[in-house]
Amino acid sequence: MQVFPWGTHSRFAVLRDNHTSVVGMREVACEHGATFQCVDNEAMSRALLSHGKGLNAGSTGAGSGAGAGSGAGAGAGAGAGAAVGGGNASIGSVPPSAAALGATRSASSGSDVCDHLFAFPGESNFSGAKYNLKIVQAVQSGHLEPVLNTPFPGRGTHRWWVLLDAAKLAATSELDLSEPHGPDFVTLSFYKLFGWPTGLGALLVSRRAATSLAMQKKYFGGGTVAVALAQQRFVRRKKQLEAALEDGSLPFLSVVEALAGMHVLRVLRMPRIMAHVEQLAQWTHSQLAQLQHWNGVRVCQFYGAWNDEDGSLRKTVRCVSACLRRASVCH
Amino acid sequence: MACPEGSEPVFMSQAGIEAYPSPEAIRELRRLQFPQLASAGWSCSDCVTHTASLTWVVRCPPGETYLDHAGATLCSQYQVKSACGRMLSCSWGNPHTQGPASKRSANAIRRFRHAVLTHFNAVGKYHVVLTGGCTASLKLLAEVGSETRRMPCQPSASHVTAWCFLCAGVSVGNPLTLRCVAR
Repeated sequence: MQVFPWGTHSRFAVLRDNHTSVVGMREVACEHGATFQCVDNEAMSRALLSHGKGLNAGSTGAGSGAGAGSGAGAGAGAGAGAAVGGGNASIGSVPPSAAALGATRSASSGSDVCDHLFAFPGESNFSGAKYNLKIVQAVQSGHLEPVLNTPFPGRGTHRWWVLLDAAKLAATSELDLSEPHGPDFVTLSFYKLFGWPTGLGALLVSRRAATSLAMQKKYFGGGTVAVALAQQRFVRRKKQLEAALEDGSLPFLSVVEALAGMHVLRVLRMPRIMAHVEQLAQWTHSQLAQLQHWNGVRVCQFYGAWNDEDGSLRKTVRCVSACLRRASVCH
Repeated sequence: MACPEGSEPVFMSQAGIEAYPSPEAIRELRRLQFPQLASAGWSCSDCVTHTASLTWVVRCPPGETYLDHAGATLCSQYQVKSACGRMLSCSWGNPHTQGPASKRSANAIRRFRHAVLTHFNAVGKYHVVLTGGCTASLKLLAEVGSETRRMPCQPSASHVTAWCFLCAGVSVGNPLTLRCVAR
């Protein structure tokens, strides 16, 4: 299959908070010469600050990027906001302006084009931290390049494509893809949204990506070709992107089942689902927080940004992640 | 999996009553739409005459609590019943063949793609490629044949003189673990 055009100068960058399935893409990318890089939240915050954005959903800019994935210890380490201040001035001057990049990008129909992919989760599976979707535009504009640790080749035209892993985010949040600078690719599993059927997901491909990238596979299965000869090597594939990428017969009965699921989401509405899940998470957190050993040692050590800066409990976390401790653990 | 005694009012008051249509809303929703949450489960006797012929009857043991919404959410009774009704109301054919049953399936797929785009406010902006799941989507996007790239990166004069090996471990505080090793 050749869907993403990896090249020897391609970068495949992922946010550290990504799911294993995203990280697994690097094995394919590296095999085709691409360079892999894991970007931590601190570096991502630097890149975003040069674009005037914060790392987390709801954050407005400088300093407010702490929290995502910085959950006590096992998260991404230091809170991003505090670490950003010092490097801001120098980093901010490095990236080319979005307008300038937009110009080169629009003239990028030649062959000397290098495509890069950046992948990030809409919401952390681990800590429940939600990421600011403004990341998409910042990366598409090339603002990630200064924080990559290997020298970036100056030649040619560089295009950054952004993959949003929305498997976790879409399960409990409204995701609006109508913005002009939306992610180029979005991946989903429908059982996360409405439970049944399993075994059905989607790759959403933006029209921009569909027209600019040669998204074509080598293998062809039933349904993906207009004509294919068995006696000689002749195949004409279907032109429609969906038809060209979906090999074999789709699980059409699952699709019929999933239609009922989509109807449930329409009736319940995502904001209500989100509010209920947040309330359940709060409840679970408060119940678990009360658990103590005989000697007063708290059983659960929570990960994720449960507390605001003023110490109050944050109400927007939808995932409880905790380490269970023995009674003998040191305070 | 009943709620602990007295916990519902506390839960509701914490949520703010305006979050739910009525104080009984959650209990009703659980009872009507998620019978799998009740320890008694849901009886198959409604639709299967000889329940005894079912070889594998699974019930949640009392006290079991489902806490894995991040892993997978639960499906509602409405979903299962309406989908089953639709399944049995007519025949559904392979969408790749011709005929009324096949066209019905093709139509369902078209409607589903449109429903997905509507859900994400993305009609006209995205294509919906159906896959086996999120992981299958990622795999589909990643897997490439480099020799057939339409827009290849021009390799530098030195061509590929070094291979990049990826260090396996990603240590906390130093996530940049890529190391280039000369061949």
